[in-house]
Amino acid sequence: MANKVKYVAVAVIIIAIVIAAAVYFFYLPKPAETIKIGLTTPLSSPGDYKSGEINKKTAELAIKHINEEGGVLGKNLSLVVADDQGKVDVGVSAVERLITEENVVAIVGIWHSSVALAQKEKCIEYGVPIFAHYTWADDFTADHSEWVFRVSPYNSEIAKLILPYIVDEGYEHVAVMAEDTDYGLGFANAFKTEAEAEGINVTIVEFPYDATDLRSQLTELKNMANPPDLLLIASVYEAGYVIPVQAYEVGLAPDCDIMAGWDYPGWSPEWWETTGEYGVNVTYPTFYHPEKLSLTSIGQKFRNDYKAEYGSEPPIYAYFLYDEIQVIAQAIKEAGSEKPADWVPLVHTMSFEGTTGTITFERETTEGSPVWNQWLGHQIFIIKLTEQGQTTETGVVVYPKE
Amino acid sequence: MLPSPSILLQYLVIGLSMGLVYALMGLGLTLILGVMKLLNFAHGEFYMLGGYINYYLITSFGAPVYLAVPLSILSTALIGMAVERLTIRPMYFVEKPGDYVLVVTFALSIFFKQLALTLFGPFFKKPPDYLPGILEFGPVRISGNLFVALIVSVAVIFGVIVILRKTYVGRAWRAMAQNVIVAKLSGVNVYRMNMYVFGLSTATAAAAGVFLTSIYLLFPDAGVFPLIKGYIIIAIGGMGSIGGSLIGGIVLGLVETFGSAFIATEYKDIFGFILLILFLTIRPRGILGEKLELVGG
Repeated sequence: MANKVKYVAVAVIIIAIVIAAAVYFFYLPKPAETIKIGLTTPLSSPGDYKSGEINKKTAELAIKHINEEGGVLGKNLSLVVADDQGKVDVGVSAVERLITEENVVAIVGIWHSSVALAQKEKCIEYGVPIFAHYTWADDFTADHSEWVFRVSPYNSEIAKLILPYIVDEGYEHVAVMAEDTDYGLGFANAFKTEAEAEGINVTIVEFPYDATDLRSQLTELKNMANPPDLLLIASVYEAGYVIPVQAYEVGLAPDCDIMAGWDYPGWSPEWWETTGEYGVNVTYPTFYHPEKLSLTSIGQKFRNDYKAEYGSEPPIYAYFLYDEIQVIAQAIKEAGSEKPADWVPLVHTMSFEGTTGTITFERETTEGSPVWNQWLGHQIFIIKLTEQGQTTETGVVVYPKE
Repeated sequence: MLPSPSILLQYLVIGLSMGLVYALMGLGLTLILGVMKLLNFAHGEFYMLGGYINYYLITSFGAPVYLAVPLSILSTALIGMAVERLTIRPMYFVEKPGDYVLVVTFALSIFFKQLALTLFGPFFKKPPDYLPGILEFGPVRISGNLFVALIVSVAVIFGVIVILRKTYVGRAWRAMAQNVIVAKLSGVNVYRMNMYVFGLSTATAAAAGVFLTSIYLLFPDAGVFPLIKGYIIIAIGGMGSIGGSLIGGIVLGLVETFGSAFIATEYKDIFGFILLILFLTIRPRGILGEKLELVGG
């Protein structure tokens, strides 16, 4: 009798568990199905994790905006984040994991050129699109893959865009301080090619990307028979901040002007703290200026919400990343399918309202041309920081002249 | 063509200044290696921690520099002693403690870096200038911050030598460096002494962090560079030798500076590694490392 009671009790418990499980799986609200976008970006060392953090915040805001407007094809977008650490092997594994395990429909957020060049091969292999919002290596789009897109400018385009300013200012000898990365050397070589065609003497000084003491290299430049009259810095690491200070220390500056190769002095919260008075009169190129280039309504909303959410101005590359996620969402809507094979072929045939203008992806069929699935609508501004505390918004636009 | 004497003098000063800075980076590692016979892969993180504590004491709490500097060095030393007591001392009682300590300090390094990234964010920081502006000595120009760092480097190295030679604790460390069992039999509390030497080592790392981050900036990975340089220096100068650290630092600074100036700028770091390989091949015990156990040069 006692055994019978035991069996009944066990049976009741099992039935209760089965019913509870059934209720849980069939009746309780399930999380909505989402369309996943993969973000792979440097979030720890040796990568440029301060830029990676901004990439992550920007992508989260873009996804939030799209979901607030009803999502895509009745589904919410979701972001799957992977830290590539600025390492090629980690970046490639991250992309593979995002594609094969998370089933993402696109890869965004890529940063270091060397990592991006390897990641795009993996994307091509799996047939998943990859978008570059501030990866400048010409080679990224040069093999004309259907799966590779770039909203940002690229090295030789930027070299061409800043050259009129260099010529206008009458610089005769430019020294490029280039970190030994695909970005640093890629930019330096692209600039050298363009500048020497204009009769400008270019000296490239290569240094390890993590170098923090460059006084011997700067002293060597100062002691040249024909010292440079412009120092152009191609670095995404701490060298970009210590070079202006050390150029003054060795006496190269102020006779030699200083130009940052990209726009970090204009938005980076640490620029003035780390350079102080030696950051004054530094120039840099950027692709947005609030008074010179009107943002679209999308751009205004992004700028306002970014500032409200994170308490700082978004850098220009955040605008480009935001644009990319909008492009992906619109292309999926247009195709009526989230499968990359369905919507990716539409991307280069469509035009998209971006934050700074209308985005179209151009294609040049010349073999090896970087203009392939490439937006070319960038307008360059050279900003000069004439007082401590200035940013892109308050600095002086020295090019194009009025 | 041979450069002019003034140019050579500029390079010499750059090389010497880098060398003294490197020596300060290697000093704490030398102490731990000499006395405890341990490699500490988290040493650079105490450099970074000292820098952050100093930075926030000054910028967030408004502490004057003369108060912030000793407080940050002292508090980092206390953190170092706590770390030794809680995470390293238990390893003394297992088989092959050195191997376990390597793993523990490696894990500590990752932990502190991630902690700094979470607490302080990814952006570069720099404490206010200790001596603003640039000093000129004839053809030689040097930043005020570097000038202060050089004086501090010399003072710290001298201070450590005095502690080693003139105090009971220093004598106990030297005894432990020569033979830890005999030191124990002589009544030295080796566990307590290990904690103290770890504290002093982290204090020197913090001193380096406090002053050098005004030149080389402060960020969660700021300690990686001093750690790498530190190990090259102790291999060149001699393991466990403070005098060797000083000489190793200066040799490394001069080789890197003259190498990058006259051979190739892009290989500046490689010159250091070539030097390291040369020493490990030709004179593995380093310049002053007659015996691994020697401490105090």
